[in-house]
Formats: sequence, structure tokens, C-alpha cells
Amino acid sequence: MRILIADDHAIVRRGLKQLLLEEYPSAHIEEVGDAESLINRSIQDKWDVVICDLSMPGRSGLDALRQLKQSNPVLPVLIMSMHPEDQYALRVLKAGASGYLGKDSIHSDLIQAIRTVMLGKKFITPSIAEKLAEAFDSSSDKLPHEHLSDREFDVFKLLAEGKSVTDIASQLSLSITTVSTYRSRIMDKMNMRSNAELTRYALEKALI
Amino acid sequence: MSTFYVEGTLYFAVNFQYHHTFNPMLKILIADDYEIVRRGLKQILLDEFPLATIDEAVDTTDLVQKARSYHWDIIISDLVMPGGGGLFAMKEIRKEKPGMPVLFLSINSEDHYALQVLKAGAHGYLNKDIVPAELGKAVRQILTGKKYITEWTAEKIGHKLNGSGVHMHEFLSEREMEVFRLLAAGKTITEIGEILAMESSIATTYRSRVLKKLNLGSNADVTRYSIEYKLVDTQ
Repeated sequence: MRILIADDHAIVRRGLKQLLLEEYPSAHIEEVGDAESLINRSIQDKWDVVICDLSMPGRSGLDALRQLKQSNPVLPVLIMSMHPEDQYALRVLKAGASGYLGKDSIHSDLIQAIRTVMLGKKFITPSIAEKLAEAFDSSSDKLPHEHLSDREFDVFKLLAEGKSVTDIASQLSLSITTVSTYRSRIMDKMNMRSNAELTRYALEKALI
Repeated sequence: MSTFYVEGTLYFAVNFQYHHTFNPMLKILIADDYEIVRRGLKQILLDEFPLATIDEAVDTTDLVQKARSYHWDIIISDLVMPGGGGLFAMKEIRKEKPGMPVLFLSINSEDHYALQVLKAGAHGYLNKDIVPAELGKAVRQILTGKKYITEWTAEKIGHKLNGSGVHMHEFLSEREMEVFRLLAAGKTITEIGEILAMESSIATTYRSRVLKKLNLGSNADVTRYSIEYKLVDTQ
């Protein structure tokens, strides 16, 4: 069993490694701390499963996931995150992840998730299953922020948190012009006129 | 163990590391609300102290209760946890165990806590990004009765501990303190290197760490500081 772990926190990587070795004592487990290293390692060797954090410095876990699915379509990727399920679970599954694991419950879900994805299935918790069902229900309206693309959603959250366009540009490694364009699109899609409105909305929906 | 003389006084350079490393009586209490983090932290600590007893607390209330109920040599805690958080827990624990050593681990967005936490009497403050490299060092330093912060944190908080009863020299390691005393006594890097049996480049590194932690600019400043805080005998 060959497992590749990506998380920028050494303590979390160690916890995951220990959890995995308890179940699979002869597993070969490697760790990386960022998306670039993950992508490089993933193509240099054969792996049975990848466990990847959603938010890492530099390129996001979501970007890394998309690239992994392109270069290695059959390799199961489990995404883990500090964020509550609502926000990212569906996006992550749409982008090709085999499962979504919250860091608060990963200690109890991880092994079952690995068993499930090794059988070629997706690891879906009952609450995620419910969200998926809701998403397919065409009679239910999507919330405004659900119309945003992944990138737009990232920018929306940062704007709602009060970050300036300049800060966002530097954090996401984009040009200021690009971020401004995203901001315009977000305002259009959400039908809002100011960052303050975005903040109010985000707080109401518990997105920040 | 090696011995050397500095101006007539016999010094013992004891490797106190081993005393803690294989100490089967060492009791460590860790606190974090994420089980995956507690697992990782426990493993990293067992790497450093294979025979230690390590127990876990899952939130503020659990931490305070366990801390008060048993003997611990050190508590290593997250800052942000349900139930009030690590700083609140430390204050509660200290009501019954005033000398209880507490080392806080923080994530990047919590670095503004450093000053508050140290003023409140925490023995150490460490960013999770530099665990595991620094954790063993931090724990050992605190177990020998000193306090621990990195030069980076020291730089961030500068002189702001003034008036709080906490002094920056409390955060110097044994080695840094040795270098500090020799600098204060007017020794050059070369002399320090010879006296402490270390290469000049290492002595230079230590000097730089001492200056950063104490927010000083020169050897003369070091001498002045040592006189002000009565750290070196003046002849």
C-alpha cells in the first residue's frame, strides 16, 4: 500500500501517518508540505491513494486536485479540510475527489474512507449525500454564492473578510486586474454593490 | 561532561539533555480540540521522550480538570479551543498550581497572541510550523526552569514585556546565556569560541540570537543590559 499525504502542517501529517500505520503497518507513506511537491511526487511514482489538504500555501488543494485528476485519472484523491462540509464538499467532489474529510472527524473516518476508495467507490458521508441530493433537485433554488465558480468563491470569501484587492491578488498569486474582474463578476452574480454587502451575506450564511 | 575555567571559576558543561530524554517519570499533558493534531503531537513528543507518559485533553474544561487532578511536568496546549481557550485554562490552572509550566502552540493567524500569552506568564510560545524541529528543544528548556521563545517571536514582541515582570533574558537557552555572560564580560567571538569549545561561526550565531532576543544592537548594549539586570558580577 503506497500512500501520499499533502498538508502544510507537520503535526497533522504525523497524526495521519500514525493513524495509517496502525491500520496498515507495512504501508509506504510519504509526506509533502505543498501542492507543487504533491504534483511532482504523484507523477514520479505509483500511489494507491492521495490524501490532500484543501488549503495549503501557494497553489490550493483544489488546483492540485484538478491537476492530479488530469495526470492520473484513476488515482483516488481524498480531500481533507478544516472547513465545514457545506462550503466545499460539493465543489471538491465535482472537481474529481473521491471523498471529503473534515479534520475534526478524520481520525474516525479515514480508514473507512481508504477502504471505500480502494474498492473504486467514492467515500460519501450521509450528510454529503443529502447535499448532493439537494443539488440535483432542480426545483430548489441555488443560493447566490452557489452560482460562483470555485475561483470566484475564493475571491468572494476574501472580500467578505475585508481583504483588499491588492492583498487578495498577492495571496492567490493573481494580477490585481484579474481580481478586480472577479470582483465585478461576483457583484453581478450576487446582485450586490459593495464589499460590505458581501460581508453581511457571508456572515448571515456562516461562510466566514 | 566537560569542564573549563573562566576567570578562576570552574564551569561544568553538563549534557542535561539525557536527563530528560530517557526519563520514565516525565509526564506531559497535551491539549488540542482536533484528535488528529493530538495524535501527531503525541508521536512527535514520543520521538523526543520515548519513555514519557503523555495524556490528552480535548478542550478547555478537560484541560483544566486534568491539569489540576494529576501531576504534570509540562502542559503543551493549543491557544484556541472550545470552552475559553488555552490562555484562560492556564490562568485557571495557575490558581491551584502557580508554577505549572505551560507551552503554547499557535498557528500563523494567532501570532498576535504572543505578547499577551507571555505577559500572562506562559513559559513558552511556539508556532506549529516549526514543530517538530523545535519542540524537543522548547520542552527541555522549559523543564530546566527557563522560558522558551524563538528569535522570530522575540523580534515580534520587541521590548513590549516591560512592566510585566517578565524579562527577555528569561528566554535565553543555557547556551545563549553562556554566550551572553561572556559577551557582557567583554570577550570576543574568538575567545568565546575557545572557552565554550565551539567554532567561531557557531559563537557568532549564538551572539546574533542573543542580540535578537534581547533587542540589542552591540556587545556594549549587552554589557549595559547585564549590569542593569544584575546578571553578571562586576569587579
